[in-house]
Amino acid sequence: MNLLNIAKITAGYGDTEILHKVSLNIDKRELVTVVGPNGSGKSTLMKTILGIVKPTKGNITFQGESIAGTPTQEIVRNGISYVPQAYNVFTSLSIIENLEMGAFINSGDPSKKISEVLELFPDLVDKRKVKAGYLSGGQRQMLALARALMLNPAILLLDEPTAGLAPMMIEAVFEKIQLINSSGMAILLIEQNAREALKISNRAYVLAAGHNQLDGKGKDLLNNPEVARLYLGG
Amino acid sequence: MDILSKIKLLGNRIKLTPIHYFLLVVMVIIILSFLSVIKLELVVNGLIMGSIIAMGSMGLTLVYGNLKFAHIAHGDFMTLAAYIVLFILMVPLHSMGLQSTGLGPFTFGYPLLLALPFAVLIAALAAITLDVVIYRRLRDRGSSTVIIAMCSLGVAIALRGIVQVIWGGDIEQYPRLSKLYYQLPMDVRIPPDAIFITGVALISTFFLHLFLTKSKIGKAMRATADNTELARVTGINTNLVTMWTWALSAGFAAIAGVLLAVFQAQLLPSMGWSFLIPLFAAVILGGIGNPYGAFLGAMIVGVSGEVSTQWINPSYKPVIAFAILAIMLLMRPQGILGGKD
Repeated sequence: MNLLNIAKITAGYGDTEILHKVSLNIDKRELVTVVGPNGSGKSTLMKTILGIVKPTKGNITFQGESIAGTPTQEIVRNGISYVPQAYNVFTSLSIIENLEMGAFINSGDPSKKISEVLELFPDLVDKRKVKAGYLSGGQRQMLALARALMLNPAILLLDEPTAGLAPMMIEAVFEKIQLINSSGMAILLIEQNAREALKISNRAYVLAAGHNQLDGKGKDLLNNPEVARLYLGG
Repeated sequence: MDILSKIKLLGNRIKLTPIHYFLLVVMVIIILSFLSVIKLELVVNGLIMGSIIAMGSMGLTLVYGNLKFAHIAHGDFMTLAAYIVLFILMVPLHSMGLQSTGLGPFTFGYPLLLALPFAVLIAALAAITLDVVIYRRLRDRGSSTVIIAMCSLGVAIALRGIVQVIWGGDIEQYPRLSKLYYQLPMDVRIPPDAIFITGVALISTFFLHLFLTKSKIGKAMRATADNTELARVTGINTNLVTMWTWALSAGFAAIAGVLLAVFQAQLLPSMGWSFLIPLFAAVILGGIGNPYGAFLGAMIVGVSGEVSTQWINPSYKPVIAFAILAIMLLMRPQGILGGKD
């Protein structure tokens, strides 16, 4: 049984259909990447998984149960954490408060979990009282990752976590993603830096114009001349 | 348009922190009152008025922060709460024989202190009910915030109508014992209830601060005001946050209404409605959605309104508030403390 199974989903905004019968699945401990050109429906796919966009056709099951049409909060509670591409930290809240909000649905004191998560992100420890709005782009991205980890999710959805970052920061973010994945957490990743992402992925899907184009092992797609020509810039 | 953009540019170029503004204002006031250009008494009275405006505007700004619409019925919540206190004083407490006035240095008696928490509670429950019955339905339907604001205008008129139907349109008064003003140095006279009004305002503000910075739901309120979408995908129970926002907002409006009735020594069905412009001016001055800014904005609006009466007819006070609002929107639309949008 797959951890998350998306079966022939059709979804969009209003009358505009963006995803056409898209299918995708991800197993426990897997790192799966979705690549594709701008406007191919990658972000919409994630929003559909989270229930922000309601699918009109098809089904989504998580740990064997259908979650299509379930409210976002419930989906998050079931163990799916999401890091949006932009505006992914509460800028007027301190780092600590951001992490506390990450654990909102858990009752009880989050401070133990916070120090556990911060061990993964040593750069943030000294700045725990600093408002997130004062952080650099890379630090914000790290905080957003940390916030998503607060719930101990079964799967982490990351929407272009390296967008707009300096090359060194991109490398650091990929390292963290691998580290998180190696701890046993499944990760669904959308990436612009497709070449880097495919290198670290177990499997990958290529999406174009809202349709499944290709899927396969990360390394296979990396060596696929057609993928290289179309999406990896030759 | 050219002049406007130049003014805006100038406003953007001046980078002053809130502390600079505050010190600047205090300095100007001290210098002006020493030169006897303005009466210090008016400044002090302005601070008392500012305390009442602060109670109202902090509630208003909380609702804006969470739900992103201007709650026009806010002033009429003040009115309703003031009348609820009147009812509690005149009917249940009166029949129980609790009807003393002139508690300590104040004009009112301890029954008012007994009635106030009830009024806060009733106002909070009324606001939550109103949200469930009206505003939430509009939100769920995807109505724009302009539609919801217009709807709250309807609610405002309805609330005032209810007050008028029950209590009539005449001026009412809490049972009170008239007392002399207190004489302070530098020719400052303050009304006997001034200490109560500013005290309640400061204590409530302090509790609001504790609530927003220490409690889980308070932090969630700030997070939701900061970024509603992210709050939702983080798993924050935004419905619960909305309920708390209404409860706090209406509770603060209730305190404001009762303080206003005590300060003006009268109740009128239109008292809250005519208070809306200073409230909105304070909210915008401090940065929309920022309760600390609203407090500061309220003090500025209160003081400038009172000080203006030295030269112009007191009935033009709202004009001063309106002028502040307009100038602020032109020069620094994000407010002194920089709120949202």
